[in-house]
Amino acid sequence: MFSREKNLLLFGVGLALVMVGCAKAPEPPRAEQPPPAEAVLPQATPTVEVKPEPAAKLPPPTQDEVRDAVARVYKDAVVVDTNRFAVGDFNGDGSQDVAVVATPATGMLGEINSEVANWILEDPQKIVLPDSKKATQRLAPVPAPTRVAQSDVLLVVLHGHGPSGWRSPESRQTYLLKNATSGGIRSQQMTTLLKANRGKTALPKMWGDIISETLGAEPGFLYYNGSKYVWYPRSRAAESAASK
Amino acid sequence: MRMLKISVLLLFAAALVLPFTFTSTVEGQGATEAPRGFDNVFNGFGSQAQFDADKTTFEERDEIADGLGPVYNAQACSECHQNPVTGGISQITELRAGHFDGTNFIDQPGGSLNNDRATNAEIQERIPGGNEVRTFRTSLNVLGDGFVECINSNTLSAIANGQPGQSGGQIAGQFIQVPVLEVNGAVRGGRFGWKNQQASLLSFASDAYLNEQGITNRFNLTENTSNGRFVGFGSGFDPVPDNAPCASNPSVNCGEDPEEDIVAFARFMRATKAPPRGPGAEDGSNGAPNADIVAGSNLFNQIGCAICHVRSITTSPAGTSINGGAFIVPAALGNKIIHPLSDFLLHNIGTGDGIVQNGGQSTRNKLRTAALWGMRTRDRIMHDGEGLNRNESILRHDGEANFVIANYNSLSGTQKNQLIAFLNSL
Repeated sequence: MFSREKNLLLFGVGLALVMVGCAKAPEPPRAEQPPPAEAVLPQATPTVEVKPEPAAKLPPPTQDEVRDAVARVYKDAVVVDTNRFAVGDFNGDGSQDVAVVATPATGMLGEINSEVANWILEDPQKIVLPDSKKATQRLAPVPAPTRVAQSDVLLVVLHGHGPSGWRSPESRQTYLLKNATSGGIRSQQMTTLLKANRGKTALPKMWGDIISETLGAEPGFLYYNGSKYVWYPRSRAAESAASK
Repeated sequence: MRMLKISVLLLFAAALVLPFTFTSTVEGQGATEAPRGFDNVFNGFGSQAQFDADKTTFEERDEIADGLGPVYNAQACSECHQNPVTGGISQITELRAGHFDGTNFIDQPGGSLNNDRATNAEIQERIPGGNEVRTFRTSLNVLGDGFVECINSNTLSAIANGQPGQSGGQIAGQFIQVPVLEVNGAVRGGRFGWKNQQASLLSFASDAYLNEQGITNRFNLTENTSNGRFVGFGSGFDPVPDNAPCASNPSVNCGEDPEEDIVAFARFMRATKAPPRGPGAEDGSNGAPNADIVAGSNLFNQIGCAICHVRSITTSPAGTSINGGAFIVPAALGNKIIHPLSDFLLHNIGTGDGIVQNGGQSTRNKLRTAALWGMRTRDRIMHDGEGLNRNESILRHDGEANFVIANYNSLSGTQKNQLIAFLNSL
């Protein structure tokens, strides 16, 4: 009997030693190692960060180039009017963009108005931005989604990519604008506008060059605000100046 | 004999119990999924009672007598971090402004943040003329941020270093190191805020308490100005001095936060679960997988979205010392697999926003990759909340994301809808 208890005791001691040995003792906290030196340096500059050549150094656009660039994204969804276009850096990324008047191709309205189209469809006249002079204000309601009709005249704005701008095969980001043109578009450099306007009135925050235009007998311009193209009638600038 | 029997029993019991006392630090233990849920239940860090108490502090409305303002954006953390449960996102944006002199971004007077509210109409901040760089920033989700805090900085750095190789050199996330406010001189990989301006949740809480609610605290003792005008204690606009001793250590100045709410905020964020997936998720975590979501999930990887919207990251092992030694990764947060769909790095995708915070001028037009977890709870997306539909938001990506968008453009309408179905399941 005693011998059996003794054996059990020895077995218990042995088991305890084995299980404790298998367990790992607590470790002191491991410090997060500082990242390697190269990791804290600025990362390799992405190719898209390379500052493109100034737009002025690019050759004048040809009609074929404009048509091909639009077709790269829109394929046969729109018919471009290659007599009416303007180039400039409208989104202010240093790469030349192109704006060209277009109409919907016959039978392509479904594709043009698709919710998963490859372009951002909007009506710049429906975009009402907050008044930067008022701290508290009621914002305009979000406009209903824009729909294109067969008779609409549209403005295609194709954002450039890299030094070749809108001619680059990688230039694909594009806005399709309704109620944005009556045909007489003209590019104007933002710096020129700002100089001409100095001391006169507060202009909206523009990301790049503007597209001057007259809509419904009202002169004004289209500008990019970082996410949308917005219509700015010149009369608004006059009102602003008068209220100063 | 009886003693011998008792000894044998005790030894058996000890042998069984001892190993379990050390299991939390056993190395080589497999990583496990982080808990997920919009359920107001803690993630295992601390206790449910502590979580509930901290959540109450997170939801507490501060008044002028508590130190609110004089310029501020909200009265409680949960005003901006609330949907669908406390700690989630909201439609609230903050406003930042400054100007670009052709080389550098320069803050508007008093800093780029333009507080939308003030305790006195006379000191309401407005953007002064000449500050043409202006942007809105949406509030961010903080659910699951305890896990994000426990990601090793080296992991983020390694993701950044791998991106050029995955993208033919087009994508190169920028990893920045930012100060850890609770440890003098310590820096760590930034991961919180749209500009990765904070690395620890305590720093993040301290920064937000001052900048969003106007409450000075242990790590931010100076009140914000109103467009550069001093409006702090002594100006007539702020009745609360910034020198209350900390309740936990009266020798330390806690500003207007003697109860150290910032500690409760940080503890609350650390104890939140990660956002859960919606019905039909491809991982089977919420019912049977939906075929469109499964297909969309595969497309998300195939076209390159996942290079930046990284799907899975494992946190540091429990016991790791982070935040310059100020925080030890607890078992509840250590060695956990999370699915944030972000690399927590800065990228230029053509959306700006033109503002510089902690990362230097090279980050001017870069933003942190949006973490897409919980995306189905958001109607206004991207950093400025200007994305009102998924397709348009995808198309707003350019710059580093150019080739990914080219891949997206080449998808059929059905495939795009599958991809969007996947996004709406996040």
